[in-house]
Amino acid sequence: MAATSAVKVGPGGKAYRNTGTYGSPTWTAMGLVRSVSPSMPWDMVEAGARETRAKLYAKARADLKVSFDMRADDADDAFSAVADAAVSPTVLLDILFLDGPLTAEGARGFRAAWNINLTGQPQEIDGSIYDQFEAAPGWSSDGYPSTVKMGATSTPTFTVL
Amino acid sequence: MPTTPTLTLCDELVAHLEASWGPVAPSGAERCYFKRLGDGDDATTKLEGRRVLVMPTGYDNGPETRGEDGYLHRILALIVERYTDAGDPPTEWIDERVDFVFEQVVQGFDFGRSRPTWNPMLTTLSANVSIVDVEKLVTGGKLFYSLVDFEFAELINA
Repeated sequence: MAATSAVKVGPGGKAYRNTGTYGSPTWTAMGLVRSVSPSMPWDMVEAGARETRAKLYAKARADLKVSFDMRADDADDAFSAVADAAVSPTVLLDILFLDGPLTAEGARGFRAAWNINLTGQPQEIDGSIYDQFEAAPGWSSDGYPSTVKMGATSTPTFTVL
Repeated sequence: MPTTPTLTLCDELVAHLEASWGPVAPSGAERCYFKRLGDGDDATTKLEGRRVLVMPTGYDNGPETRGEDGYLHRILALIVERYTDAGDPPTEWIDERVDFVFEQVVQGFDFGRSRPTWNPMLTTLSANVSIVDVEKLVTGGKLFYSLVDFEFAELINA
C-alpha cells in the first residue's frame, strides 16, 4: 500500500534499541530520547573528464552520525545502556533510528552498531538534565551500517552502505 | 477523582501541606477555584481559622521526549486568616503568618532541588510571593491575605 501523504513531526520519530540478537532483533523504543538528528554527508572525490570543463565528483564514503539527547534517568534501562556505552572504550549499541514508528510504512532511518560519545551534559540551575550524545558506527562482525526503510507489516529493508 | 494533571497536582499539594502543617479545624487547606471570604459578620461566608486555598489557574503542555509530555502548571496558593481581636493586628501577629507562608507554602512546595516522594517527575520552577495585602489587613475585615503564584514543571508519560 502506498504511504499516505502527511506531515512528519519530530516527536513522531523513534529510536529503538535492540535487546535481542543482531540477526533476530527485539526493537525496544527508547522513550527518553529527543532532538534526534542523523547526518550522512559523503566524502566527494574528483571524477572529472576532458569532455567537460565542469568539475565532476563521485561519492566515496559516507560519514554517518546521529546526535541525540536523553533525559537522564537512572531507572531507565535504555538511558543506562547508552550512558554505560558512552564511558566504555569498546561497547557498541545496536540502535535503529527512524523518522517514524516501526509500524509506519515508508519510515526511514539508519541502523548500525554504534559507538556512543557523551558530548555534553548541561546541568543548568533551572532545568532538568539532558545528556547529549553522538552515535558513530563501529566495526562489528554482526553487520555493517545500513539505511533502513520500513515496508508493509512492519518489515524493514536494510541496505548496507 | 479529576483527570486533569493540574487538578491532580493541586490535590497532591493540599495533602502534602496538611501532612507537614497538621492544621486543627477550622484551619486547613483545600483545592478550589474561588472562595467567598465575605466578612466577619456574615455567617455564610464567615472565615474561621487559617485557610490555605490551592487554586489552579492554567497549564501548558507539549512533547518533552519521545515518550513523555512536559506540563507547565500554574497554581495559586492563597493564605487567609482574620485578626479577631480589637485594634490593628500587631507586627508579631503578621510576622507569624508571613513566616507560615514562607516555611509551609513557599519552602514546603519547593521541589527545585529534590523531588517529592509522591511525584518524582515534579519540579518547582518559581514562586512569586505577595507578602500581605495591607489594604485588606487594615480595613474592617482585618484579613491577612497572602498570595503565592507558583509554576511547576512535570513530566507525564505520553
